[in-house]
Order: sequence, then C-alpha cells, then structure tokens
Amino acid sequence: MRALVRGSDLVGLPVVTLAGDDIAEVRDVVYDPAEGQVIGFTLNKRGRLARRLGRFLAQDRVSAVGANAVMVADETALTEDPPHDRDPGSGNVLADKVLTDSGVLIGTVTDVVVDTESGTVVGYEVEPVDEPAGRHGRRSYVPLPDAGAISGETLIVPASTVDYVASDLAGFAEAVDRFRDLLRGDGS
Amino acid sequence: MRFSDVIKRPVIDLATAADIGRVDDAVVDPVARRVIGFRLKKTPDDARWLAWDQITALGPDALTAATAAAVTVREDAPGRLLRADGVIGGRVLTDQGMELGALADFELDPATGLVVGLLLADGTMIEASALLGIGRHATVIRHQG
Repeated sequence: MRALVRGSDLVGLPVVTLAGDDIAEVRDVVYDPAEGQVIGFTLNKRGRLARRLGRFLAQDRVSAVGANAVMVADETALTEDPPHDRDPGSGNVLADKVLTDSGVLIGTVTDVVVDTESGTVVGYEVEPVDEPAGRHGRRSYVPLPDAGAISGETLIVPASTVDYVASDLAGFAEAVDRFRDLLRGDGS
Repeated sequence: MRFSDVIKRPVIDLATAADIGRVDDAVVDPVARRVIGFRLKKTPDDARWLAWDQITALGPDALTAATAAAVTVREDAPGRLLRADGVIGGRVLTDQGMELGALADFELDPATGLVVGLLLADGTMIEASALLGIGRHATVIRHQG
C-alpha cells in the first residue's frame, strides 16, 4: 500500500509487534540524503515521558509503516544503536537550501517526504523562497530523482524539478512518478 | 455464538447439579485462534479458572463441567483477558499499521472453542484466519483485500 507521509508525521508513532505489543515509539527518522533512503528510526520508550530508548529500528526490519503504527515482526527487530557514522535524524537536511542545477533557488527544506512502502525519500517539503507575504506557513513539495539529491550545504536537483513541484501531498505521488519517468526518458 | 452471550452464563457441576460459578471473562490464544478458558466469578472459593478442556459442554443456557474440581486457580498463564485486559473495546490494527477501530466481540464455535470471527464496532466481521496477535497495544489482523 503506497502512501506518502512527512517524516515528522512518523515521529511519535508506536512500534507494534504482530503479537500486538507496543515496544517503542518513533523518536526520529534517520535518513541518508545521498541514497535517498530511510535508514531507520531512533526510538523513545513508550509513555508520557518519552525518554530515549537506546535501540534502533533499521528500515529492513520494518514490516510496514501505516498511518497509525510502525509494524515489526517481534522484539528482535530492534537492534543496538544506529551506526555512528550517520547523523541521527532527518535534521541533517532540514533548513538546507534546494537549488536546481540551472541555479534556481526553490526554497529551504522543512521536512522529508517518505514513501512508506519502499522506505525511500521521494521528495522534500520546502518553504518556497518566493513566499508572498501573508501566506506564511505554506509549503511546497519538491520531487527527488530515484538516486536522491547531491547534497552538501545545498541540495542540488535537476532543473526540470521546478515543473513538478506540488502544493499538497495528495497530488505529489503522481508528480514524483511523472518527474522520475521524465528523468529516465532523458537518460535513454 | 458471541462471546458477549457467554458472559454471566452459569457453570453447572454435572456430578452434583450445583451452580459453581458464572462466566466473567475469557482468554483467547491468538495463534491457535481458540478459547483457552474462562475466568469465573461467584465461585465458592478462590479457584476461578475453567480451562476449555475441562468443559463438558458450552450450551445455550449454561456451561457444564464433570466436576467442581474442573475449576482451578489460574497459574501465570499467558494470554490476555478479553474484558479485564481491554481486548474487547480495544483497538484493532492491521499488519499494515492501520487502525480499524474498536473490537466489539468474538464469534465462537461453541463445540470447539475456535474463534470464527472478530466483530468490529462498526459491524464488520473479520474472519478468524486473519487474526495475528492479541497484545497490550492492539489486536492485530492481516490486512484485508
């Protein structure tokens, strides 16, 4: 079941075994911008205090990500802490600027958009640079190539990206597909 | 037969024809998809657990057992009480991570104790074969369709 969600929508979701027990909740989404892939999730203990649980849930141990829970087979899905060479959190791209290879600044990243079926990051939620006054808080959705974006201090995306920027998540899945089809066509 | 219809049903000792308790709760094994046993109330002593294999019959008006000794003290048996542990009224979650609302009732086969279906609060009946787990967060079922 394909669904696109913002990374921040996943924060706080319970991690539930197929036996029906909640064993953790999502603290943050760990994302590799170079690969365009969610690596996994850092975790909090369940409960009001939401203290950090020193375990990690790797993407390949997740059986499904739904609107109401992250499902795993059993407790063994949780492993030791994430690899230390990764920056924990999608925070590593937040506030980065998105620039096309033709030199057009699209905006600054406010969130990642995750395809929950594949665990890939298919785009970024951005605050557009051409934000008119009085429309504060409005966001746009920028598709990413299959391969992800070239990232440093700025995320570089193809110039054609600007034609596929969506104003809401509902239409974004289709925009991503069309954008990626276009890129594949260019390459052949 | 619905689990809710079994609640408060008397348990009769067939040896003495005495009323030895009332059904108060039950535990379902989610893997075997059957009732493991019933917790009783109004028993003569602290023994309140009636295992399924100690039941002679689950009839329309009463449960019968061969002897009052069928009712025992429940050991630290695994499994959750459907009422006391909030399985009934608790959330139902698919293996895709989608909530389907609250669990209203279990449909049981009175001859075997097997779960036939799970009734959701919105009236949907889910086939028992979809049942994956009954945990402290949710009853988990395989995604339908």
